Amino acid sequence: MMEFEAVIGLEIHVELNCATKMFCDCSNRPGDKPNMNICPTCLWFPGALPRLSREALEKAALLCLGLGAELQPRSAFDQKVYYYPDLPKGYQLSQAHLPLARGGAIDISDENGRPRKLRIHHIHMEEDVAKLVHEMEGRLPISLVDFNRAGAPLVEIVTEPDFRTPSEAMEFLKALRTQVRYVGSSECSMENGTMRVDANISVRPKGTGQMNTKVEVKNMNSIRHVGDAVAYEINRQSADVQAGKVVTLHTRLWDPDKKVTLAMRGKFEGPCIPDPVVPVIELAPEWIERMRTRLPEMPAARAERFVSQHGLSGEEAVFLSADPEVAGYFEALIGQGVSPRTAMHWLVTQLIPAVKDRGQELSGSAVPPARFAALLNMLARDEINAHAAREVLGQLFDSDKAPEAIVSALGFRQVSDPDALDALIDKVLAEQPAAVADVRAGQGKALGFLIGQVMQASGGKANPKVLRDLLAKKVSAAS
Amino acid sequence: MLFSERVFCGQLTLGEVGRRVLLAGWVDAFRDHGGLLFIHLRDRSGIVQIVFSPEIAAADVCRRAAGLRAEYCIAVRGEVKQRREGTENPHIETGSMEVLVTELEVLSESDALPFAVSDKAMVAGAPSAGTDTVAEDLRLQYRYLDIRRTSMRDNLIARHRIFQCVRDFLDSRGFVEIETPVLTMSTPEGARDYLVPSRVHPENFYALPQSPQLFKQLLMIGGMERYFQLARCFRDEDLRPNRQPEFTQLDIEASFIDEEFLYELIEELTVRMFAVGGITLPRPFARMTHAEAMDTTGSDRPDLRFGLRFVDVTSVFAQTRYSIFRQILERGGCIKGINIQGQSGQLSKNVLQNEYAKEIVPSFGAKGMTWMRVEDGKFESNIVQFFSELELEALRGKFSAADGDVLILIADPSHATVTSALGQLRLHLANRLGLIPSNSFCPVWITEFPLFEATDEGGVTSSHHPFTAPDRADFDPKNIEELLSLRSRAYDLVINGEELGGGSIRINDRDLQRRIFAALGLTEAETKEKFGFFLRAFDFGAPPHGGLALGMDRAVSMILKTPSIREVIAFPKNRGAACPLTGAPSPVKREQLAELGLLNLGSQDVLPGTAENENRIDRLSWVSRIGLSADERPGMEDVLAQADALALLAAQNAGEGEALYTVAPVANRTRPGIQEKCSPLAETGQLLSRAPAVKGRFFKVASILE
Amino acid sequence: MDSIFFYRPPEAAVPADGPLKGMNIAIQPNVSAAGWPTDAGSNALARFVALEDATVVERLRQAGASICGSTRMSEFGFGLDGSRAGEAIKRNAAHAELVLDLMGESRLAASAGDVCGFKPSYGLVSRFGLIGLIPSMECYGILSDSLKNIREILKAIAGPDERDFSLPDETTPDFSPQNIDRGKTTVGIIKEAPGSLPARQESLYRAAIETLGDAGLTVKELSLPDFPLFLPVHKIVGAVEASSCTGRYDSVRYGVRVPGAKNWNEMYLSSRGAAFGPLLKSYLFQGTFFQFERYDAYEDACRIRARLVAGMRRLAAQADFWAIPVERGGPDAPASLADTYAQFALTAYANVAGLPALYLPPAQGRPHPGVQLSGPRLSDARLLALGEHLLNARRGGNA
Repeated sequence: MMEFEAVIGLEIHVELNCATKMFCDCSNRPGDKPNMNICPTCLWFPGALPRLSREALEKAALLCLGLGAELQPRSAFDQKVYYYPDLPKGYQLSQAHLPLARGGAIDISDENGRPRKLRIHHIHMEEDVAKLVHEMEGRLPISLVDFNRAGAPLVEIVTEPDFRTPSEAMEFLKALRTQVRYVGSSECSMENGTMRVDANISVRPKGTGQMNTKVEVKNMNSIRHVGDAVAYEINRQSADVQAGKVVTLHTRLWDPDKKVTLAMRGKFEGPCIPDPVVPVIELAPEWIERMRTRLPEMPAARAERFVSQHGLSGEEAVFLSADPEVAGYFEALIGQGVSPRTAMHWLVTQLIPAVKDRGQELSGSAVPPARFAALLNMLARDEINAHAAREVLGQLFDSDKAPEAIVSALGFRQVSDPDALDALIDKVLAEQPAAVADVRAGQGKALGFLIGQVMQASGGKANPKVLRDLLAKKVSAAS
Repeated sequence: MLFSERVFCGQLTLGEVGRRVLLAGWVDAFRDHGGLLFIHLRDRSGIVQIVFSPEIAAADVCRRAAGLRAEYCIAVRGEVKQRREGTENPHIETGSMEVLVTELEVLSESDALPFAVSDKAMVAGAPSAGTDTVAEDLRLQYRYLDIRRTSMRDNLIARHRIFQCVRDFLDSRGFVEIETPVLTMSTPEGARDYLVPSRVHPENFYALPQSPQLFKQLLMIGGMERYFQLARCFRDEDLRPNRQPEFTQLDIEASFIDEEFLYELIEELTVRMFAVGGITLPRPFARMTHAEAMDTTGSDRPDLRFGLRFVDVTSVFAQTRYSIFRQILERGGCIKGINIQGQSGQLSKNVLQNEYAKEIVPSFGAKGMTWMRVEDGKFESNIVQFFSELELEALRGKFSAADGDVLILIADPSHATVTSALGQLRLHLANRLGLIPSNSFCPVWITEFPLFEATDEGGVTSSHHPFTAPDRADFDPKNIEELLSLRSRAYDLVINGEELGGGSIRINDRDLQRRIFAALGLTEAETKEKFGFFLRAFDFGAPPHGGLALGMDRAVSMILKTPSIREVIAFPKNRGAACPLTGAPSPVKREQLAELGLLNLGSQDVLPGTAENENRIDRLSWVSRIGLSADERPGMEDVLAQADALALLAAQNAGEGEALYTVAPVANRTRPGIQEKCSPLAETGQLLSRAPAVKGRFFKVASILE
Repeated sequence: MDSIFFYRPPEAAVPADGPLKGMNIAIQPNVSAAGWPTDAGSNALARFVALEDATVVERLRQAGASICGSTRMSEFGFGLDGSRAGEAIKRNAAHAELVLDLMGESRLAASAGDVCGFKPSYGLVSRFGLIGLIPSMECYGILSDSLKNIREILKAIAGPDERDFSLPDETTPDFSPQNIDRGKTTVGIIKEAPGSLPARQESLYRAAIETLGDAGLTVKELSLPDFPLFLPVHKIVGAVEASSCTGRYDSVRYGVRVPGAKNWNEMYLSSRGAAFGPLLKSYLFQGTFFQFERYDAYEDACRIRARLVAGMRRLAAQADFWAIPVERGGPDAPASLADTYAQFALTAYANVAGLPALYLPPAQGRPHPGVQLSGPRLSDARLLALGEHLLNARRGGNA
């Protein structure tokens, strides 16, 4: 049996989170009441002219820089000609001949943990099309058009056919998503349609350099679906080739319920004509450098710094840096004097789940870094114990009082004063002679029992470390 | 034996006791009592018991009788005798007598039967065989055996009685039965035609008539004044359980009459037809406008034997915060409902939510439904919380809701979906809750149909046919809104939710007819091509006239209460529009097709852009989506030849330099793009107002296939 | 009169005070004026009513002019079939007219109407609100019997516009009256330009050229061997741009839909099929052909265009202005695309290269067809000054 390998390339559409559409001042909110965010320009009324958004250009440029792509000194819009009711002028303004940027790559680890560099061919800007709704009018099928999305700013990232496995495609998309979120150009959510992925897949006998006829797969709405669809398609094509069938160039749709790809009608590629109206984009080196200064530290660099500067493990650093909000929060905690390990631990295991439970975002949550740091610093100073800190964290969401005030109000302040503890210890030792005897006989378990008894007597507020030392000393002293 | 002496089995009376008679018919059933043989002998008139007794018949006769089997065709001679008390069979007409046979002649033997024909038990009170379990196709394949069965035989005879009653009545009113041709011309309107190829005119076709419409109107122009015909009509439509590709229609047309004349005539006729089946129809028939029928029952053939009429509550929710309703209303939709009075005991929460909302109503084409039960003066439902007090009070008022009632609402962007789904739901509920009284008949005339229906693309099409008279003549044929508001002088007769027939007063004014065609967007040339011969007739003094057609198969089926119309047709097609008996329709030999010129017909009609060897003009027309008419086509060859020449010239002169796309290049002109603005033209709706078709806040286009 | 006007407003708004006060200017129904029927001469926009004012309309009104109506035009302004351009001036119904110049329509209409016709440099006047056809070549032409009117109108409408980003960042020429120095101003005659003229026409052209010398201008022969390529370049590029530009007429958002289509493909085919007249359809078919099947020919034409523009720039170093022959008289409604283009063989150059061009009618009684003058891009003000100089010279004045 012949062994096959896949050749996979991705085309990723990313919806830029600009205030307005690409060529007019209409709001870039596709989900509003139908046909509210429209104007003569995005409906392409006679006499209307396109006016490129600077914000779209800048966000697209930042995205390109964030992915390591090289912004081109000269780029221009073309008319991609085809006719469809969701396209208001018979052509889509896109950059076919002179894209905004070329090159760039994303580094990932493959399934075996080996590093892989997956290259980007080019990145261009284009406008989105309208949304179609299909319904029946009596027995007559009709379609309804909502132009709110028409003209929304997009970039399309076209990769080289560097991918060999579904997991590489998924890893690439995850990393891409992280990086685009970092530069702040898009929320990049496949679920919400702000990132849309088409995959081009062909197969060849393993070890050969052939480039065979590819099949385009669309309609995946999560990164997991991309992996599933690519895997399905590789199997399907391998089986076909094995059976002597010829793969033809066509487009297939992923059916997420049945987990199969289904052929759709042959794809029609319209011609691309340079647009004579939209001004060309000429990017001076100074402008590009200015943009670069607006670029945040990218996740890989940040993760590296977290390891070297804060002593996190590689895995921890990658996790914290994946989401710019999380990473920023982490650094803010450190800025407030929280130790990196405590910050990492409490952020990941306590705060993020708590924020998620309440359906909030980390950035807008009721617990900004300063408040959380105040709490963690009390913990570090042994003023409260971990149990109390967790309790107080819950309260922080519902009250705007300072953590210190809450601790006081709830009486959570830890008892570390040896005098106060002494009395409690003496009382317990007097009540539990048998356990004391066990400890002296060398049974460690009994010491734990005694600590528990004292802790209970203190209402949970005893500082466990101080308590243990005191108790151990007392028991041995009394012998 | 001399058949001239034959008497009918079912017509023997006690008066004949003691007489010797000759009977002929089929062996329906037999019973052997050890030498004594009882047989049910059946002919068209009925059944009588004949007895072969060794004491009376010769040994040879008895021996041959013992060899008889079901459905042998025999003749016997014997003496009529009264049965002994206690042995009578009350289930057959002649149950109090029997014939003691002395002579037997086997006229024709029968093979073993594919199914039992007898449906009269020989023993009083015993269950009869019946045909319930026999596959219908088997019955149709051996229809001649099936017709021997009492019920089929009775149906066919009753059908004849009803037809005879029609003929007698119409004759008495001065109507003349005239036959119109079965081989006629194909017309583009209505359903698909059955085509009959002409050998004499190769590649030309007759069509079987879908109705004698044009001919009966021509008979009126021909001065026949009152015409009728029990006409066979043919429609090549998609399969439906109770539809036959050919059917019989009572076709009536009269001149110098109005709607009232026809209502009176048809009501009297219908009453008489139903009387044949022992059914008394109430007179006068109810009347209901089409609009009322649609608005209150969701059907243009409403079943009025029960209530459950619709109530429109769209206005109640005009300001609702319930997002599902709000979105639907934003898309131009509507909300209607029904009150199922006093049935909350039958319709539990579980039934409403899990059966109706999740299964049944979606299967009727609606996306969902909303239900509310009224208990202790309060609405109870999973969505009541989303409605304001004001909305609930308005609902209570609109539905006159009281304790024990159940309200069901359906909301959808499409009005048609709401009425259609609610209409199906209305019937479903009536059946489930047993709200339909048996043996009740509610005839109703549906009137004032819309003359036109809107087409998808903003034009109109005739609801009935283009010869139907409008309710007024002073309309503007270009004003689509006005055209859609016109009513027609058409009427349908509906009984218990079944359309029995319909008709209209026709246009007899040339000018009016022209304006109707103009409204339909037909040019002079097109109407001439489609209806030329017919319209010409109206140039010669057409009288005012009108008429109607009644579906006779359906009427007879309703009168005889049969489960399907196939039970009242001697040789029907099955549900698949095929005849299991003859095997029709069937393939024919290629030679036959060749002789008719039917080979290689129509192969040149391919969609643009789909064929492999399509030409350049078709391809360009397709990719630019610019349609070309036949007369524009020839010139395009020249135009493209010039383009070829231009391309060559350009290639020869291009050189290697840079291309220039605009003479005054501009770079980097941008607007900030950080301040969103709502176009005032969007807010005021002016942007939508320029569209050829909208729906709610959407632009509407023809469907997108794929 | 109504055969000239497509639409006249029931009452004109009271004009503002300004340099154009008292001037009646006619536009064409491809210029948006809010509330006016604006069909651009095409069935594609039958019954369309404009939503906003075009920049030119706004500026003319601000300058005090009264927009007195829109005159009948050819479909999308392509050629002169069906156009009544120039007639409103002849009948004293307007002081000036704005006429779309795609390949020379304003100049040819001026020649037919015996009035002055001026096509400004490309990029001088905002196209916002113009229902155009060939974006890289189209321009408002101005017709009037007074060059002063033309200058004032151009002054009012020229200049940057925030709504038209395709206007280049260039200094708007100074439109104040200028002097033309006798003896120091050269007018070039491009040797290859009259190539297509019949012999008799050519001698008339020579007669027209003589009047230049009479006005004290130095006439000089120049050569641009590529000159005959202006027309084919216009044909290819124009067809492609027209095909793209009319893509919007799909009957979804506006326009006319042919009823009865079963799906959107049919809807597009039938509606777009009915939207365009035969001449435009031929043009769009050629454009589609280049777009979909011969993109190389379009690129070739754009390469030649670059060379032609550079060539004209070289000529500008050799002479201040150029005189180009012009054919006299109005068109007899040519039916075919080839015949239509043939009329514009000597005017299309200005659209391809974005140059200003001025048609001056002949002095009364002169048999020659008048003269078409042109100059480098943005020489508009000087070109108009040259025109005034020639008219003055004709009246015996001395510049």
